[in-house]
Amino acid sequence: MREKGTPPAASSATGEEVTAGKGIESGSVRARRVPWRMMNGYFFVGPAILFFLFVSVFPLLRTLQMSLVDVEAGVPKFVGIRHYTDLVQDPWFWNSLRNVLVFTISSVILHISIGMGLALLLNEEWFNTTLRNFMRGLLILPWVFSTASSGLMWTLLYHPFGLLNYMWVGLLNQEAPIEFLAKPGLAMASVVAVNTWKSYPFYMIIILGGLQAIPAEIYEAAKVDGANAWKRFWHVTLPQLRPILIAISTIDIITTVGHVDLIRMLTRGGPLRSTETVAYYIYKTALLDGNLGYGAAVSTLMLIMLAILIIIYLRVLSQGGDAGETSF
Amino acid sequence: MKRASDFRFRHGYLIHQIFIVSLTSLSAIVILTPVVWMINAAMRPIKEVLTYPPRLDPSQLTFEYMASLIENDLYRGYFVNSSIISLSTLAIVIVLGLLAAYGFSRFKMGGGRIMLLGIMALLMLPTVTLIVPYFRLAHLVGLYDTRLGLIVVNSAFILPICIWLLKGYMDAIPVDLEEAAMIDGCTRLQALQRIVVPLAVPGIVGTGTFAFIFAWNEFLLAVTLTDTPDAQPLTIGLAAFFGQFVRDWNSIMALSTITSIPLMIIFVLFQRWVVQGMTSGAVK
Amino acid sequence: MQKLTRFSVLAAMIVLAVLLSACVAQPESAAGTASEADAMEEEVVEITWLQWWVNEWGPDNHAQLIADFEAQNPNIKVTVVDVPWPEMAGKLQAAAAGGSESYDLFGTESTWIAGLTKQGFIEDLGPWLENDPEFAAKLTPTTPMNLLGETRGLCLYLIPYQFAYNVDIFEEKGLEPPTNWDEFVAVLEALRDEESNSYGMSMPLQDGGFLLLRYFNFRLAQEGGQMLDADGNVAFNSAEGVAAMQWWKDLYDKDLVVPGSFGEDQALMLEFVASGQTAAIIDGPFIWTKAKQIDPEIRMAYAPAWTHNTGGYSWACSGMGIAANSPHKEEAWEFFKYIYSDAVSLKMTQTVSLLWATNAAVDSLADSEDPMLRHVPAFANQDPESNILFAPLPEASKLIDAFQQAFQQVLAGEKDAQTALDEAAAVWQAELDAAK
Repeated sequence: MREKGTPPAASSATGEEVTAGKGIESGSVRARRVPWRMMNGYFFVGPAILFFLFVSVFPLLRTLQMSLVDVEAGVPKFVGIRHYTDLVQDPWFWNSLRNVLVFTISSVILHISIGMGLALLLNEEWFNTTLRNFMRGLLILPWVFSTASSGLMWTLLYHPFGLLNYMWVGLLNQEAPIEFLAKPGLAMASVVAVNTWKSYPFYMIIILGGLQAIPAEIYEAAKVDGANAWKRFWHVTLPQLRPILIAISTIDIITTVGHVDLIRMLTRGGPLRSTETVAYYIYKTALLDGNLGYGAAVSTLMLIMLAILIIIYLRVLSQGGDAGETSF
Repeated sequence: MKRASDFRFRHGYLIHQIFIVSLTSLSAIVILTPVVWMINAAMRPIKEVLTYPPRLDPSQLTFEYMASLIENDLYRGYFVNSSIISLSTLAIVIVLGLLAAYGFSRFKMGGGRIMLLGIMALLMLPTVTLIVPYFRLAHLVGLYDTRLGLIVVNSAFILPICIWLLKGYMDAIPVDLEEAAMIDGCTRLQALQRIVVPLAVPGIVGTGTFAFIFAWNEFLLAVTLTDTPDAQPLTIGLAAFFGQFVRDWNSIMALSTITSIPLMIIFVLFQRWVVQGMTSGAVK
Repeated sequence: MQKLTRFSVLAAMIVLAVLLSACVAQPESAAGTASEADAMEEEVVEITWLQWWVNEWGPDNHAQLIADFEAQNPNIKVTVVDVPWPEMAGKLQAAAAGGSESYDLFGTESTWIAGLTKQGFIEDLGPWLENDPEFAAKLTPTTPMNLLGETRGLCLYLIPYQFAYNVDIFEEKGLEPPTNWDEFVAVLEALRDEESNSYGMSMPLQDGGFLLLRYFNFRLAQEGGQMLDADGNVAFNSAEGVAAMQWWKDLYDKDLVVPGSFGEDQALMLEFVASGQTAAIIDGPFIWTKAKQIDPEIRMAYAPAWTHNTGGYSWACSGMGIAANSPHKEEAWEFFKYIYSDAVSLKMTQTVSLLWATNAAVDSLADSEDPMLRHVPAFANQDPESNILFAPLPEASKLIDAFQQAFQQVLAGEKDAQTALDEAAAVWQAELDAAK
């Protein structure tokens, strides 16, 4: 089963292996091109790298620089790593770190599992293709609304006289309304729910794209071997989707950690600072109090932690897998 | 236990269909309740939206709020700006993203990993931190309060994700095909264009949709980097309805409903491509 | 073949989009140079005013204000940059840190002043006022926004906080507006109806500054306490402070305010009132104008001024500042003189119910018919010594966060009032000391 499930398509495709594989049948071509291989790579990657050098490196360096400087009455003063030493002793920073961990882990798990579930349903053969396409269109709806309007929409559902509480109090005859955004644990769950609702369609589409790229022959072969639906999912679908799942979960982790808008719309970090994530904490310190240096230090530290986390995440995931190319 | 799930598939087509369709519909109902609620709010006087118990009586619905927005020149201008910004961002990130993803996927380069990590690192800084540097940069190069400025900055934010995603798709495409094409006399670029791109269409559509929607809904950068309606996208027009105390529910919901329609249409159109991409891939 | 066409369609679309953006970008720069040329000929100085008031004051009203100024000062042109209030702080900080000269004058809350001062972005208006005693005489004593002895801005409108109610609901239920704190509680009890799930009022606690001004400071002033003492040291953890906090805790525990306070913001509060879900609110005099934007029919009024131990009231303001790096400070000052003029003061006080921070506006209230504004002189004058004016603070959002934390902890029953206030006071005192 395992061998059958391991797809030829997902096998590694780095330049190195390409060279090795091709060497036998087209030795002369390869020999001629070897010095060009590296140049060619830079040719393809170059435009994007140049773009980043012009547009993104300045802000990145400036953030690093800002984190080492304190401004007093408009005069910048070099303070070395003082912001960082303050930061380590700042209980609210650690609080926000804890919150972002909860927020990110639960969001990522929900995004990908819901996205996967719906993608599987939509990838099945339906008795009516138009109906299926229509459903696909419907299910991406939450994604196309701006964060501001989705936040507002959910306020309308969550508030004490809103739709959900109408069902809870009015129809189910419960005594007190549910305080969705007002109880520390519940508020985080409510924000995660909105974030899941808002973002799952992206993951659904990407996974759907991945599912469609899986050659039907592999499934046929598995069926012939007598594999049931669960086995086919586990041994064919998942390994085939592996590179994509690794990529989107990484992206999801990174974007969720940096997310501010929904929290700003729904809870402003409250109640009792239970939904204050690192990014929201940066927003508050940097943009509301004008402590740009401190905010930049938090950002830089967050970047370093995130980078380490991501590298570990990818190393662990690529161990023993055939998706080594997705790692750094 | 494994047998139990198998049963569904061996039993007739009908049960399978009912299961799939009803499960999807159920999810759709749960997911779309807020949307129905929003459209409801876009079509009745604000006071009725806020009453308890909530009202859903369809006889009092009105298109007045949506109509007044469509007739508003200012909002038409925002719409044009949003379209230009989103389409141009899409164009830039797909072209640069395809090339870079192909490069990272197919070539072993010195410093390749570092470049890839560097690109991801750019993504790891939250937007909040970057708006101050971008404000300064935009003033320095004269792109402050222009659409071009927003296009460039949006692209910088989306491009890393696009490269990452497209690389994932390209890794899954067998190299034999393009190698064969190159032996037949194609250049690398031609091989990318004729072999890889058509096979990666589902990925390109997914990534492109992401890029477009990101640019379409981007707000924080737009509010920081623009001052006048000449350059501002729809999200700014939407934010104008959020006062310190009063939110203009009707306009907010009407505008959200109107602007999500083109996005829906675009997606449904592109969806055909996803399916076509799949079949053409299978033929190959 | 088919694949090729598809790819070329994509390519064509991309090229089209890029061309489109390039094309549309061009006339813009042309227009820019044209207006510059105009400016050279007529020597018109252009000043840019960054603010959030276009929708708040009504677009027509706002435009008229600018048009009148430009008619009076033909050599100055005012460009308005309108930013929604939630984004104002970020925009100002970006401009301050970016060293931009884009804005000559701007609207500001007192909580943002310290951050902007730190960036060196905001002009010290003290010398300007000294050089212009005629103008300074028009302003009320509380108009200057002072931070550590320097005037960093001027309050544009002053806001007292008091109990306002929906006149129709009160008439329907046969209720009289409360004249003191005990009647206030009695009214809330009368308005609570479990059957129809309605409440007397809601108490939004999501925004720290909001709860500080409307709830804590209001009761604190009436208890006879102050936030800061005469030397600028923390004083809110006094016996009066504890009593004020305890009062709100007792009210909160009685199930008389809408549940979910910790997650409620001011917009939701106003929506509850405007939709008749609640019948009362504690807020500034402009709140009726705001409620009318949701329900044009609504009638609201202030309860007569209350007195507990003192007759003091909690006051706040939103104001204006001039950018320190602006090349057009003289012109910006001209605009200040216009916007604080008697004519504008009276007009704005009448049309948008904002109490302009000038003597002319305050004096005009004595014979006001407005059911909200006519009570305001009493709030100001019945015990001026005990009033609490919310002044700019260093690290304002950090301090307010600490206070909000204390307030919420007490209401949630996690801490007693004295402990929580002492903890918040320690955070405040440390920042205040550091700023000195």
